[in-house]
Amino acid sequence: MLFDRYAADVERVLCRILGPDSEIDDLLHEVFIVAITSIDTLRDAGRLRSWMIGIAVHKARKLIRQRKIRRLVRLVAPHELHDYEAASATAEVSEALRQTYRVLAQLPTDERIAFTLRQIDGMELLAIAEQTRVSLATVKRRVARAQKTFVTLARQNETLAEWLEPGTVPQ
Amino acid sequence: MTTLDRLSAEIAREQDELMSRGDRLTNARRRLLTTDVGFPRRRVPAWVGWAVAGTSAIAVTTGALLSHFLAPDELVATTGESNSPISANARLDAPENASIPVRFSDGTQIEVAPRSRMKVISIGRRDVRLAMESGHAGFTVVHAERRRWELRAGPFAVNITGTRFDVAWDPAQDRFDLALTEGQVELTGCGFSTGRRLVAGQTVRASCRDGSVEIAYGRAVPWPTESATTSTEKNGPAVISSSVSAPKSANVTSPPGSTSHAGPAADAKIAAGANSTTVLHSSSTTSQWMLLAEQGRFKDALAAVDRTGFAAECSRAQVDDLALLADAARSAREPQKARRAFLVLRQRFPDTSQAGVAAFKLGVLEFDQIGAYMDAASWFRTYLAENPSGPLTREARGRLMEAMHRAGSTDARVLAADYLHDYPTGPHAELAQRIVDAQ
Repeated sequence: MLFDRYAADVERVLCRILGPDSEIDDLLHEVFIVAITSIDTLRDAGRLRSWMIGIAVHKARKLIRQRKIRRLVRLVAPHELHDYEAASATAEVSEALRQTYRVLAQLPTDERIAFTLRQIDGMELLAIAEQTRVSLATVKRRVARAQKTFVTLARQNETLAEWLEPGTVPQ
Repeated sequence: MTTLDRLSAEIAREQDELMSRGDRLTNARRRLLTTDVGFPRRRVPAWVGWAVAGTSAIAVTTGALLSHFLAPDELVATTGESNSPISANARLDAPENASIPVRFSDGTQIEVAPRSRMKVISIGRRDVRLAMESGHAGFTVVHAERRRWELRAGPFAVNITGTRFDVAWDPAQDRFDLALTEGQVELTGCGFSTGRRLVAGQTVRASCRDGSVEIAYGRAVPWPTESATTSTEKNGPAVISSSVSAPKSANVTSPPGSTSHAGPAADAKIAAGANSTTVLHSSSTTSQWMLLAEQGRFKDALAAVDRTGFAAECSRAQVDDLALLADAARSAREPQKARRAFLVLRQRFPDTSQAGVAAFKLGVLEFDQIGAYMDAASWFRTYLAENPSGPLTREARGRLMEAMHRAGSTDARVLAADYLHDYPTGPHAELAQRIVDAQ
């Protein structure tokens, strides 16, 4: 079944892009609804996994953009990160996770997606290009710009500053 | 590996751990199986979409019209904890060290800062007229059709729609300042001639004496902290602090029908000998502290809030903003302020999910920053009582066990055994096992 084979990948991509977020459950559901109802549009069955992840990326991007618009008109609070049960008993890591996505929320949406997929998920640049439907050069540019912005903002963040030292952006 | 890579790896590891422990996939699978997916998807004809949109538009318009015509026009203003009514010609005279909050029945809020004076000229169905006699005040005005708000400050006038701004008027120095946070206002009077519209983020400083008008965008402006004071008041250093409730010493009076108040001109004479000092005040203090907090500059965020009053911000912030303020205080290691913000949040928004989270965070605060383990345990119990199956249940149970253990309570063992039973691989399992083994 489609769900059993790809649900973990979809969940992982959503978590990487959005961080701790109460809407991941709904997005996960929506991704599979979209996949099931539009599977007939998939021309190459060999690209099923990539296609599923592409839907997840699209859904996550749409959510981030909706929030930014709502935030502009002050319909929602500036922070949507919800509290979660820490996986580690160390408060530092769970706080770092929270603050990382708080900082990421300040990045342009496409740069945030490129950064999270590359830097946190470790996805290949070519794969990111495929999921986000842009060229490899564009992905490289987005990742580099996002890394630079993230490090700059993170250094101003009291929690993340401790994790980072000068010269962290890969050359 | 760079430090950025190390941070990223830790984040990924934490997320992987969270995913492996959650039951999201199980729930999602069950949900999907019970959903009527309607495979394959039916293409809805375009005309159906237009019909739905048209019907929705008619419904929304009808609702809006009904809402408009049925909305009560009477406006009631109150102040203080006892909600004392304010009538026309009332003068709000804030004392040395506390502000006066004014609430209107439509949700509009005004805060008259310490040592400031404002007069309510009229409160009508169609218009509300106020006069800033001296000092400064914060306005959050709820927009309503056909209702006009006007604030006079000496020779200047502010025509207000739904908006948020701070205003200061110093008759002695002939100085008018306004910092607009949200919405729009229109300024008239000296220097502005027939009208000048300001948009959110702009600040203005004007003087009638020399006709100067200075409009800036997104930068701080000097804000008078010692403005006109009566001859009986001291000229000590100005500190803008605020109180959530109307202070007992606040002088709210309703003069007789024919007011004997001499107006701003008289204030100018009274204040002529007053000293004047300035501090940097944000052009949009509220949004500025939020921006700083979002950037993780928590101490700077708190400093920005303190300029207008931490308590005042607690009393007017909406639930999410208040949660952010409390988090900022917690992260800035200001436990007293964090506790205050969390408590105000629970008091003002008791039925929200944020109230429950606040209980949990109060426990964390008492535990981590104050070391009051029994108090911490009490808050974790509160969270668990209010949210028996909430998203932080496991964490709260672990923390409760740890707090009781630190407090030396024998209950810790029972809690540890229960924790191990329910969460054998939870983040507090190791500690729980040690507690069980030790006793």
